[in-house]
Amino acid sequence: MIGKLIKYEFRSLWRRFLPLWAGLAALGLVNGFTITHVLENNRIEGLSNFLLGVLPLIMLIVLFTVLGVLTLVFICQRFYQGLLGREGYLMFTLPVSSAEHILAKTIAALLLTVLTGLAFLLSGTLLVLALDVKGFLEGMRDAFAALRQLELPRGIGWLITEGLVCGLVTAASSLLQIYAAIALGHLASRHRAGWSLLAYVGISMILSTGVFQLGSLGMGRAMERWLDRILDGGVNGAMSAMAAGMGFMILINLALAVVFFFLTKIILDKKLNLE
Amino acid sequence: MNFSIKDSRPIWQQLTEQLRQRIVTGVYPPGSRFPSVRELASEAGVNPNTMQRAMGQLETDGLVTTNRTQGRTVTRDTEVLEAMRRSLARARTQEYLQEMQALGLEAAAAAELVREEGEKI
Amino acid sequence: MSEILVECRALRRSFGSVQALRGVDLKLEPGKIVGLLGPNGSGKTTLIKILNGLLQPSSGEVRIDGRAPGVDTKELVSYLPDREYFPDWMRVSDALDFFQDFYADFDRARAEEMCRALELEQGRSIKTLSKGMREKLQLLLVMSRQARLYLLDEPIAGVDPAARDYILHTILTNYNPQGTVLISTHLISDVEQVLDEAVFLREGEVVLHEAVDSIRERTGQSVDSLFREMFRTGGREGGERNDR
Repeated sequence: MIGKLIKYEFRSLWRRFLPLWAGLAALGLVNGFTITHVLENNRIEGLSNFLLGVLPLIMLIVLFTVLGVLTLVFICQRFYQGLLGREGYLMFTLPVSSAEHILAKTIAALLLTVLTGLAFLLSGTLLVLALDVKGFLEGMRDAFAALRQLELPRGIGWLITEGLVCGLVTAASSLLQIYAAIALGHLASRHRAGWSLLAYVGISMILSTGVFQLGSLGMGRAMERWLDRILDGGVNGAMSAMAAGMGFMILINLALAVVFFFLTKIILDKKLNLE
Repeated sequence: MNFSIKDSRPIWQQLTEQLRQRIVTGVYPPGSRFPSVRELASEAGVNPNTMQRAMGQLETDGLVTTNRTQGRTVTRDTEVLEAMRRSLARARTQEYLQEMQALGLEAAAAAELVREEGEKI
Repeated sequence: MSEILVECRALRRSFGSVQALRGVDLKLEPGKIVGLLGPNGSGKTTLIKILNGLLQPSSGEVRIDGRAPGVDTKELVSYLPDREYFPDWMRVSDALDFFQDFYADFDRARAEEMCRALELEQGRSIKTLSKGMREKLQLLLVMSRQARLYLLDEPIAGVDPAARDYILHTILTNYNPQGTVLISTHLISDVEQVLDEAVFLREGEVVLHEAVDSIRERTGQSVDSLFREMFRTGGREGGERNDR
């Protein structure tokens, strides 16, 4: 059932995001060419050159920002309107549990974020490519050769994997924090959006003070040992320190994610009141 | 001739009357297949259970017979049909006479009116 | 004795200080078309939302096919709300896909047939349809399911007479005969001939639950007429027999 829900989440976003991603990639390419042109001609005076060099760049930056904001807005909207708005009449009468709904939305949102990130990457790559294909390819070849010669420390693969997991879990807990805030806002009878915002800010504040407390509690000594490991331990020491640091982040975010998930689930199960 | 549910009597009774009328006037000829409950309920815009009850009454009247394989059939029995025809006509006549009485005409005067009008047709 | 499909016992629901349902007791058998009749604000929508799991009761019990409302019962219940619930991005075909994906009892061929009869193309975006057409689409999707319980919340309110006939006809010709249809409305004369039973709801309580035929025989009035009498004068009797 979760798979089916995710399928419909994606059906809802294709038409809006695909052109944006395509536009981003295209603009990256265009910018590569225009910047090359401006640099080659070495003239920055003159209105036409100015427009040629700067305008596409501005458009690119604007599109980057818009896409980022749109992704966030879309994710919030899909939860707020899609589950707690009039679409909720359709969703909550499906033979699907609230846990499945929350998971499906979370996974779809994560995928959307990843895809948008990939679009950013693609755009940047195309820009560099258009700028200087030869230089780019040579640079890549050199980099790979250097990597192959480099004695990779053991466990680098694990570290990278841990990094990815850490990124995912952190993203998930951030998403679930948004969902929990929206669910908390739903408990009010009016101005629910406002209350949701307040809830989000409130949770963030609680978290940051909590971290602060933890930090001052006794982390001082742990931090010292951690720093020692980095400074004295060489590459291996640094790696294990990073692994430990990331492991810690994973644990905390996992715990947060679970708390937010159950908070949201309980509110949806017991306190649903669509209007 | 559409079904009409006009007054406050039980709907199935009104349907029964109208179905009897249809059979006697040949809308459903003798020996022909009688429509199913769902068909008639859909046509009349009524609950199938209600139509079922009306059709049950037709079976009790003997106007319709049910066969497991063939469904419902209108009877060929001319005596039964005639008896129902007369019964419906009689009921109408009684209503008519009551209305005439309300206008101040007794049965004999009403009968005279009937004869006069009948000659014109 | 036939099994009970829906059972409510001492069902209560409040919203803050407002008591929407004050102890509803109700039993519904399968195979019936039942009218949930009452003025606006009598608790009809609240009761229906509790039956389809959109709302939790404040106290009391609800059982559908012997179980409390949850994921299991949602498979058995086909619900038509009194508002539109499709997201803006959906086309007609998306809506049919959706129902087919999530409801095992959905009859896609039947739904497509009804779309054809309405000249509703599969590729149309739902938000470009007229309001009346959107409502018909929702109705035909709900009625294309072979559900055990159909909950229709005000299906004919604000609808022209031709559309109303279409709606009642669609309900009659598509519902699962082994199932029960609960139609909530305050427009009683329009639906009366379609009903087996009538439930009168007044201020969150059931004040009458009787077969339509029985009401007519007992009181000599139509259900609509009895309703007006009971809800105008505030009389709590089941309707006096009119002296003729």
